[in-house]
Amino acid sequence: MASTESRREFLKRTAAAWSAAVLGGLASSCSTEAGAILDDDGVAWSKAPCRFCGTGCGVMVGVRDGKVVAVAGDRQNPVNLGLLCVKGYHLPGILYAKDRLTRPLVRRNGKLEEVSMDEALDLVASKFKQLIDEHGKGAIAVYGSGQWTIQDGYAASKWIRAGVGNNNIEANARLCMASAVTGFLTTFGKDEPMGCYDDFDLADVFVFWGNNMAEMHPVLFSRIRARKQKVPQVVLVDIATRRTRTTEGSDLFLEFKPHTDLAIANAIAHEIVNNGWVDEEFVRRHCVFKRGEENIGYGLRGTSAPNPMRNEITSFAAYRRFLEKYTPEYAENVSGVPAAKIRQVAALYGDPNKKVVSLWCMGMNQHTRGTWINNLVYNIHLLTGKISEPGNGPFSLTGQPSACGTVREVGTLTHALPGGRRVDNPEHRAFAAKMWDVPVESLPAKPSMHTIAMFRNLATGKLKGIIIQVTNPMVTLPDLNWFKKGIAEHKPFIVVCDVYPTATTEIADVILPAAMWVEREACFGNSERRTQQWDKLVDPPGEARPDSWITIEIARRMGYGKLFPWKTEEEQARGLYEEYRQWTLGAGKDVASYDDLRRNRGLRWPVVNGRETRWRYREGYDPYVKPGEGISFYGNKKLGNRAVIWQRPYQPPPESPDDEYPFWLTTGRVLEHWHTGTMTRRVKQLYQAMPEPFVEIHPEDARELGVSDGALVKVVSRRGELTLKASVRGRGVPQRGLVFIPFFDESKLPNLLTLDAHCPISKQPDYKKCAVRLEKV
Amino acid sequence: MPVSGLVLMCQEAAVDAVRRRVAGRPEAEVRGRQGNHLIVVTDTATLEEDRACVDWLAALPGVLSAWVTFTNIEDVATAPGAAART
Repeated sequence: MASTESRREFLKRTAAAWSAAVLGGLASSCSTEAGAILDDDGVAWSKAPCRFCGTGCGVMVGVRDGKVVAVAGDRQNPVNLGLLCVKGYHLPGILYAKDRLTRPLVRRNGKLEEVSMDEALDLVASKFKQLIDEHGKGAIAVYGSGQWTIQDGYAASKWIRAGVGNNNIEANARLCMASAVTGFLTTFGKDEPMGCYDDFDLADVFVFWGNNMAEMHPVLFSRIRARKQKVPQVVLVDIATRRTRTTEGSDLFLEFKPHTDLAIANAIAHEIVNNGWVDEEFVRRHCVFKRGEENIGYGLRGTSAPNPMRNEITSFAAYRRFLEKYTPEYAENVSGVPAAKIRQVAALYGDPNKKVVSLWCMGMNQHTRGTWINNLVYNIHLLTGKISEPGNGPFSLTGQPSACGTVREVGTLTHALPGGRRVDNPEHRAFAAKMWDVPVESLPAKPSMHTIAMFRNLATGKLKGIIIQVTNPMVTLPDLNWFKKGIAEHKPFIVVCDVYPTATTEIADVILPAAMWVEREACFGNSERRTQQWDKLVDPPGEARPDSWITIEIARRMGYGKLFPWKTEEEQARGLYEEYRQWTLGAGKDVASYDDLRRNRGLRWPVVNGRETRWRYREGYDPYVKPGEGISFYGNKKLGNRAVIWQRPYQPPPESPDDEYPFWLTTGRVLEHWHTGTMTRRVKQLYQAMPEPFVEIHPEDARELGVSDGALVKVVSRRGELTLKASVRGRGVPQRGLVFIPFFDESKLPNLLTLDAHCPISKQPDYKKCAVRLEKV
Repeated sequence: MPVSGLVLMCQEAAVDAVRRRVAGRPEAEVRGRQGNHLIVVTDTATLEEDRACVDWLAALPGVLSAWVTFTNIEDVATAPGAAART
């Protein structure tokens, strides 16, 4: 900095130069002269991925005097090329709110008291041991998150499976993308997208299936917008139940009645088949047809149904017969979307000269037929052969920074082991026993409980203790009153590790303060299979420690110390990752070495011989596809490396509006707040921009109710009620007969209203539809 | 006292109009143009003003996207009152 230049002018010049450099990077390839522009005496800059959504944007973090004082978009990170959304640029704020948890707290006589970390850990370990002694190995569980780092998830999985000896591990990603997982597995035999963000720079058509990408994944949406700016013929199609900013940016809007996307997807397939738009060679060589069990229920408490996984091989002829009823007119009748619009979208998918990317997130996954609708969108891409190649493919987005890297890849769900392995596969258990140096008999062969079952068991006294890390289930579980009452009655032992007080710390017996983001060294894995590493840049406050460190300390105190030979936090970060990596090698999920991650802005697996993979299953891109194979869906070895085209019918949801409850309720997120708002509601400017939730009502419905913008409205379902301000002319406009409530405020919980129903295959709850009535207050 | 750098992607025909609107706002300054993109720097007194200014820029007619590329809050992050809801 020149001595004659003021500090503010220096910062402004830096801001302008950095913006110009980012813009230059967008226009050409990324420059590498990052350090020169950000050169600032006393501020040290380091790379890290953003802490928020699943996009995995790269940020440069500026640290001075042990505090994060600045962030800049990382120009060298190919995910965002230096661009950040509003949440990313407020990253420093999430570290420094006044009510940050800094000391362990133990509840005694109903009050929380500060104790030392040693005392808290001793108490947790002894209580867990006591519960196991009294009730067996299955008495305790661990519940984590897609915000767990890879190291956190691997430590938790190893502790509970190889140490305690049960499979009682789940993560909140069960609530947000389990249907995407089962969709991928049932169609391709392997999880996670085959494509990558490069597709957004190459496609001609983007179809958003119930996905408000403009607000939820704004940096990626901007990338798509930039594509359209460059090539005006690019078409954006929004298929949704309410108008959003994504609708504003789209060329075509299909507004459908909730749950009827199943009929629309089948009608698009009907048009593709009937108009001869099927890529017959692709389908003949690379696909098989199946019909699944159709009487699968909705997973409601006290109900049962046949095995939803039951299925049989069929044929193209049978599939064609199945599709006969799904004419665009049938779909119009069910969904309310004009048949002509459905034909228009089908023609875009069917045009051999157009590259198409389909995108979705919670709208399709939080669905009582979530697995099915995932299958149906894959059907469209398989029928047309538009998959696993640059610019063509289905792309399931995620909402958390490591839902893919930790929950799906490390395998922190009850059935899963790292590297795509399963606990119910004897060979996989044998591999696990070898990796963890434990007797194979000590590893239970059956999955135990999915998330909803875990909390049902906690609420009914069957599960005696749980440790919850970096998630807030007392906001996110559906039909929340039922769970709260049960937990209050049965009083299980609850340990919560978090960075701020939450609705879940309110029910905790022990609260352990956690380190977050750049207060520790770790890795995340984003939506495009990119694993990213960052270093510890600042100290956590007080006695806060990484979740993986806490898990390891509890494990040591319970007698499982030999599972975790690493001493320092740095050794743990590297050691946990490198051990986990051994599970991935040769399994089609080969993650990069720790040193490679340190040197790079992330690499997309499978990483073989130091090279990442952009498009899976296609020769020339994917090292697992042998020369001459062309395409190989190698996750389905028993099906001859072919993907499955499924017959999945439209079926109505378990609860629909009626005379008593005439409105649909759908829940979701807003741009300013991330998930339950634990972090973003503590960033003053985000809080002030969106201080409280609202109920979004169509103007005509509001007029009939006599409700104006900002008036109080009581929303009542069969399970609870909630009073909120009406939003009649907000940024989103629901269709008539539907209301929308965001779920970021733990004091105004839409999950008091929602229905505890889930997809019977994925066990993911449906937060997007139940019936409510509105009462003017 | 935050200082932020932004890139505004504008409709081609609206670039000059956006530039004029920004020029009328004392805390924002256009520091460059590349095609239909404007480089804007904001210098505000508080985080609230910073955010409000970014929102205003993003909502200007003709602005397709507003990306934040840099922000320095060195004399804000250390303040005791960063918490929103306590």
